Amino acid sequence: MPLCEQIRRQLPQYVADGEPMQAAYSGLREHLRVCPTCRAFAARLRLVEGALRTYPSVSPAPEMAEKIICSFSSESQARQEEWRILPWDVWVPVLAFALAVMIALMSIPSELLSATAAPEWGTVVINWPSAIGAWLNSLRLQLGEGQFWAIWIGIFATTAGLGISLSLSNWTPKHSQSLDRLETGVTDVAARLWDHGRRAP
Amino acid sequence: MNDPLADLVVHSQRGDADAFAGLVAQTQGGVYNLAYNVLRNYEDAQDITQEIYMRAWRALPGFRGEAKFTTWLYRLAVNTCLNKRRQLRTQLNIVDSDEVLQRLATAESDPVAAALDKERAAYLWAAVDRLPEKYRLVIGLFYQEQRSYQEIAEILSLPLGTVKAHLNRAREALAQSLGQDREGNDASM
Repeated sequence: MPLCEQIRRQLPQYVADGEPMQAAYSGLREHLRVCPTCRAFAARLRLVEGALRTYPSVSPAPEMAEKIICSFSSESQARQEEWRILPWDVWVPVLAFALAVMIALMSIPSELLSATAAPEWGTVVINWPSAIGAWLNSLRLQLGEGQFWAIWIGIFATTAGLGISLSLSNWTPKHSQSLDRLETGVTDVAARLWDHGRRAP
Repeated sequence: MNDPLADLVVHSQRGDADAFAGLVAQTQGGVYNLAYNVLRNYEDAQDITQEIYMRAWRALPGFRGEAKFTTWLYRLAVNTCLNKRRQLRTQLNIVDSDEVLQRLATAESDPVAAALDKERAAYLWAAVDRLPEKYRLVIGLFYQEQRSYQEIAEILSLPLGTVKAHLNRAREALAQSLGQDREGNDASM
C-alpha cells in the first residue's frame, strides 16, 4: 500500500484525537511535513472536525413531553382498571383450577365422604351440587370407571394447559425474577427441613 | 454502575408515573435528536419518540441495570426508529437546504460555530445529512449526544472497532466531499 494511502487511513482518527504528540504518530507527522497532498487532506479533516463538533441538535416541541406523559399515564391507569376486572391471563387459570377442584370434590363417592370424619364439608359437597353429582354418578355408571376418568382428566388437562400457555404468553422478565426468588425460598426451606430431619434422633 | 438517573429508574420500575415523567424530561432531547437523525422528519421524529417512551414504560421492569439507563433507552430508540424507517423508506423526506440554514442560525450563539466559516459548516452539515444512515447515527451519537465509543457500540450492538471505523469513514468522506466542492468551485471560477 502506498505511504500516502496508509497515512490517509490514520489521519481521521489522528485529527479527531486532537493530533496527539505520541511516538506512534511520529512517522505520520514526518510525512505531513513533506507531503503537500496529505497536508491538505489533514487541513480538510480539521475543518470537518470543527463543523462536526458544532453540528447542532434538533430540539423537540415544548409540548412533546406533556404528550408523552399523558399517553403513558393513561396507559398505566388502563392497566390498573384492567386488573380490577381481572385480565384473561389470571381468570383462565383460576377458572381451570376451580373447575378441577370442583370436579375432584364432586367425584368423591358419597359413601367415602360419609365414612370420613368431616360431616360439615361432606354435607356441603354432597348436598350443594346434588343434581350435578347425581348426573355425574349416572354418567360414571354408564361409561364405566376408566372412560369416565379419562374424559375428565382430558378436560382438566386441556383447560389447565390452555390457562398456563395463555399466562406464559404474557411472561416478562419480572415474572422470571419472582419465580427465581420463589425457587430460592423453596430450596432454602427444603434445605432447613432436610437438616432438621437429619439432626432429629 | 453509577447512573445519575438510577433513582428515577428504580421508582419508575415500581410503576411511579411521576418518576418516569422525570426520566422523560431528562432524556427526551437526546431521543428526539436520535430519532430525527434516522427519520429526517420532525413530525415522524416526534411520533416515534412518543412510541419509544411507551415501549420503555412497558419494558422498564425488564431493565436490570447492566448498562446505563440512557444506553438501554437509546438502544430501544435505535431499534424502534430503524423499524419505522423500514416502513417509511419509500416516503422519506430529505432535509432541504433551508432547514440546514435554519439549523445554522440556531447555532450562531455558540462562539466556536460563529468563528467557523458559515457557508462551509452549512455545506458539511448538509453533507452529513446525505451520508448513509449508519454513519449519520454514529455521528449523531458521538458529536451531538457526546457518547463514548463504548456506549455507541452498546447502543448500536456493534463491535468497538466498527464504531471507530464508521466514524473515520464518515470523516474521510466528508473531507473528500469538501475537497470536491473546492475543486468544483475552483473549476467554475
